[in-house]
Order: sequence, then C-alpha cells, then structure tokens
Amino acid sequence: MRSVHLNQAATSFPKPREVVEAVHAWFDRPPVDAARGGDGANDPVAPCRKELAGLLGVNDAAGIVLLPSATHALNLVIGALVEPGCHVVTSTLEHNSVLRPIAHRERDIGVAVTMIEPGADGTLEPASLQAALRPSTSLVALTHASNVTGSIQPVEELAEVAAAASVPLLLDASQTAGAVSLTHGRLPGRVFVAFAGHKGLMGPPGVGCLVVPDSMLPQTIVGGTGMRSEDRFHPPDLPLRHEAGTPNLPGIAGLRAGVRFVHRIGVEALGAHRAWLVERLREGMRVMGHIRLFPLAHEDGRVGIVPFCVAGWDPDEVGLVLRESFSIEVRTGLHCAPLALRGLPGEPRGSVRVSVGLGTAEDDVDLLLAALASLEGC
Amino acid sequence: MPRFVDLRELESCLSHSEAKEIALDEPVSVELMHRLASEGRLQYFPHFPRPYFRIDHPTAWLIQGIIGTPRLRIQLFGDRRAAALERLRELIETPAPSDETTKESPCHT
Ligand SMILES: Cc1ncc(COP(=O)(O)O)c(C=O)c1O
Repeated sequence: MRSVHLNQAATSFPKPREVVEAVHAWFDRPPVDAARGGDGANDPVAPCRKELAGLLGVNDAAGIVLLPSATHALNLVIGALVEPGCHVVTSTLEHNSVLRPIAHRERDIGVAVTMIEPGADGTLEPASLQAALRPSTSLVALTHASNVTGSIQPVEELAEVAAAASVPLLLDASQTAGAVSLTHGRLPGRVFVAFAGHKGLMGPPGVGCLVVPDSMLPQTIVGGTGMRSEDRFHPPDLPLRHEAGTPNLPGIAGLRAGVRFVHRIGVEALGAHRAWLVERLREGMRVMGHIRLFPLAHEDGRVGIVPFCVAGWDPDEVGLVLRESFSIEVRTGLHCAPLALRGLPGEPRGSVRVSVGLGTAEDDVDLLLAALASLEGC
Repeated sequence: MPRFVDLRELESCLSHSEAKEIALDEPVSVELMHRLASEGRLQYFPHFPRPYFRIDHPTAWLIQGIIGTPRLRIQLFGDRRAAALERLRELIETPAPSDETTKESPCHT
C-alpha cells in the first residue's frame, strides 16, 4: 500500500531533489574552515541569507539571522524583549514555541500577559489587539497563520496597530513561509519575523530563521563566531550578533536550495496549489455526514490545513487507524497549540489535522476521502 | 502463542491519555483478538485495508490493534494498572485452544 503524507504542516515531504543534492554536495567537499564553512566556495550561509532576503523583501541580508529552529528564533526575541515589569500581548492561536517562552517569563519574572482570541472566522481583530495594549506592553507576539486552523491573520493591520503604539511585533511565520507572500519591508513598525526552514521552504530540519529590523535586540547567546577572536565580547553587528557556535552548514545548504526552488515556482503558485487541494478536501468532506469541519477553519486555504473531527471517533484513534490501516499520515491532538480550539462547541479534545503541500497530489486527497468515507457508521 | 517482548511508553499530545505499546513476537491474529475480547467490548473493522479492532474493558483498559502486525496499543485506567498489565500479559500468552473459533464479526460487535 502506498504511504501518503498529509502532515505537511509538521514538515514538508518529499523534499525537492535539489535540496537533497545540496545537502549531499556539502558533505562531498572538505570544509576548509570547519568552524564557519570556510572559503566561500563551500559556504552556503551568505547565499542562503541572500535567497531568504529576496523572498521576504528584506533590503539588507544582514537582517537575516540563521538559527537552529523557529523555536530558537521566537525564544530569542521573547527572552530579550520581555523584561520584569513588562506586559506582552499574544493570542490563543499560538504554538507552544510562543506560549511557553511567555509562560516561563510570566512564572519566573512576573510579567503580565494578555491573550487575544480570534473571531468566528478564525482571525484576530486589530481592534482586539488595540484594546489589549497597555503603556507597559513591550512585545506583541502573534502568528501569521494558525497551525491548527490554517487561518491567515491580517498582519498588515495588526502591524499598524503595534506600530502606532511603538510596540515591537514578533510574527511567527512558520506556517506561511513559502505559501503566503510576506514582504517584511512593507510592514510598518519594528517587526521581527521568525519561521522554520523545514516546512514550506522545503529545507531540512535544523534551521530556523529570524528577520530582525535593527541591531538593537539584546544578545542572549554569545560565543564563538570564527571572527575577531581576540575580542572579549561577541560581535555586535548583524547577523553575527545573534549567531554563535558552528552553524548547521549542510542544513543551510539544503535550505538555500529549498528557497531557490520556492522562488522559482513562486509563493503564489505554491499557495494556490494548497488552496486547490484544500477545496477538494472540503468539498469531499462536506458531503460526509459523519465529518465535522471546524468552524474556525479559514476559507482561504493557502496554508493547506483542514481541521476536523469524525463522529463517534476520538481524534487520536482516527490518526491511528489512518496510519495503521490505510498508510495515511495525518496529525491529531492539540498540535502543540493547546488553546487554539478553546471556545469551540463541545470544547473538543483536539482535532484531526490534514495538511497538504507541494508534495501532495490530487489522488493523495482522494485516498484520504475514501478512507474517511469508510469510517461512517462504525 | 504470542509472547510479550517489549513495552514502551507512547508519546501523547494529551497528557491525560497514557498510552503504551506492547511488542509481540508474532503478528496479532483474529484468534488473539477474540481472546482479548473475552474481557471487554470488541469493535472490529474487517473491511479496512488492514483490519483494525479496539477492545474496551469496562474499567481497566483500552486495547487497539491491527490484525497482522506484532503490536498492540494499550491505555490503562484506574489505580490497579500494574495488575491490569499483568492480566493482559496472561491473556496474550495463554496458549490458544485448538478448537477455538476465529469467527470474524462486523464493526460494533
Ligand atoms: C506555527 C508554528 N510555530 C512554530 C513552530 C516551531 O517550529 P520548529 O519546531 O521547527 O522550531 C511550528 C512547528 O510546528 C509551528 O507550526
């Protein structure tokens, strides 16, 4: 039986051949300077930054910081900007990589936190953000799109509200990078954008990225950079300001190839492919009486996520049956975003999440629909 | 007769569901499924490409498995979990009576 990967929101699969080849090629050449990638010929770091800057409309590639994961990028900003006596605004749609660093700051240094909730269409209202701001607000941390519902947030409007109050905005673009266009230079105010390289950007796991608007963010992780070793202190300039230690060079080589690939096909086309598959899924599910699509699921399917429940089945059991009986991989449970389903009728104990991507074909969707049809009445 | 060769905790997204996986030295048969169902309510889905079953014990456990794979997923409930696990081991490792029926039944038996 063919295996079907419908958990693209966790990590994309399969990776484009050129990504696999780029990782492989990195291992085929001896590193001239093992600490930082060496002589330029086999150094993927600067070219990867350039590719990412081009994709995100960042004028100066020095503002692209390469880190081990989106989680590291989010922690870096939250750790640096949320200090004792501060207030943070975030939302119930966030992933634990935002919620937990904030919860730890709340527990450990007593910061105040306000959670804003989405409306019935799954999006956050700029007015809710406006109402949540206080004079002591030092950070607004919001997702560009929920990894549970796929709802895309009105980031331009949200950024305007934060900018008008002179509060930095941290945007988690892990689910949108490579699927929904985002031009950093067009967002007003002081905006940080964090995202993973291994999802829509098609790179290998182990590289995350942070777009920083300036070199004012305090340094939290410092150490070796392979440069200016005689200095007592870590270099203050971007991007090394926030990059310490040996980077994941093969991973960055793979991400560079992934971003080039995304550029070549085009973010709009990639988003449209997902939206088309999502529509096919929704159409198929709507006629099945035993499937309940979550109301917060966004009409705009570019993120490629469809959350639902199956009458009479626990979400985890649906995941188990799809994997073990039908060789279809989906994700079930709370998806590391435990508050995202709060307030829905019946307070569901999680959802089944199907997520599609570049590697998903029409017949993958049809196999899933056939499998779901056979759960009816059982 | 299958043997219980390993027991491992399964990672679960929901902390209130404590799931484990039992590895067996042979694939789960229809006969083993019925034996386990002697202490619980069986729901069997023979029409799935790889037949799936679940057995709900009234108080002590939930067993989920696929016919033909050497694994069972279990969740234990209540305060006597160690005793429940021992009872499951006994049920699994009981030699199959030669004349036992291996009738298949549709879902929701
Ligand atoms: C919305 C969102 N934010 C952050 C992350 C964290 O990404 P990583 O685990 O690669 O650090 C994820 C990953 O699932 C995500 O979906």
